[in-house]
Amino acid sequence: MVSTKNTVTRGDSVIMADGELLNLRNRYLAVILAWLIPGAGHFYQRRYAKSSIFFLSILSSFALGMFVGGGRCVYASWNSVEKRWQYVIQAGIGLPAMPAAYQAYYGKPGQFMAPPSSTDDLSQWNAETASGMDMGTLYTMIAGLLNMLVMFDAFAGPLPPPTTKPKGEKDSTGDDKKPAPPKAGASGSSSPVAQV
Amino acid sequence: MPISMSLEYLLLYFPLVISVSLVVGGTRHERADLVLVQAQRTFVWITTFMLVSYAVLQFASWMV
Repeated sequence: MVSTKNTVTRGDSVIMADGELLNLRNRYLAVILAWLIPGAGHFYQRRYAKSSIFFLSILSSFALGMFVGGGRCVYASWNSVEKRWQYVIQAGIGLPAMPAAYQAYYGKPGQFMAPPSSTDDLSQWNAETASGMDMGTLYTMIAGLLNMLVMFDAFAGPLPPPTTKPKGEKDSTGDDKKPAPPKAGASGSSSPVAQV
Repeated sequence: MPISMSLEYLLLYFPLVISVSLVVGGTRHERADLVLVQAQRTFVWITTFMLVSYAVLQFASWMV
């Protein structure tokens, strides 16, 4: 249970979001966990609903991309065959994309997430999956980008800036003005920070 | 020549846009009900944008 007597500022681990106090715990650890496994950072922060949403959404996108791409669209390569810049973005999903980093150095052609050994191999992969290779690459890249958003959320909370103080409590400047009332017809939030 | 796409690829749009909407909603709000409202808005916004883009491209294709 988070104490309402905590000082709530944007730089602390206790923030206010959607009218509720939220303890981000060790935010740096949460970011690392969020990168390793989508949703793990939120699970550590006891934000279980969002953890489930992120885990299912991001990993399903990644899995769908792998399926469409014939299981070959995630690999790391930086040589004459291909400079695979897309992997940098795909790696945003953390552990699920890490086998490719290992395979780039120690993998053999044909193994899971191993890079193509020649341009002929790469052409064959593209021919076998039609445009599935490109679609799969796109899906897995989007999964990586989404996880970067999730990492930010694990570190700093929801994107709208949190209020600097709970209702009725003075902040460091002594300003105890009440926050502006939510606009009529908005999403039903009880806090101005929730308005988008 | 009209712009066309296989139905299989078109159906792949839905799981992706649902995932994106949920994650965007999740990074905007903390409460589950607000997350779902935001996700719904994002879904509608993206889909509308895609449909308008498709209409513009279709029109340009018809003009050529």
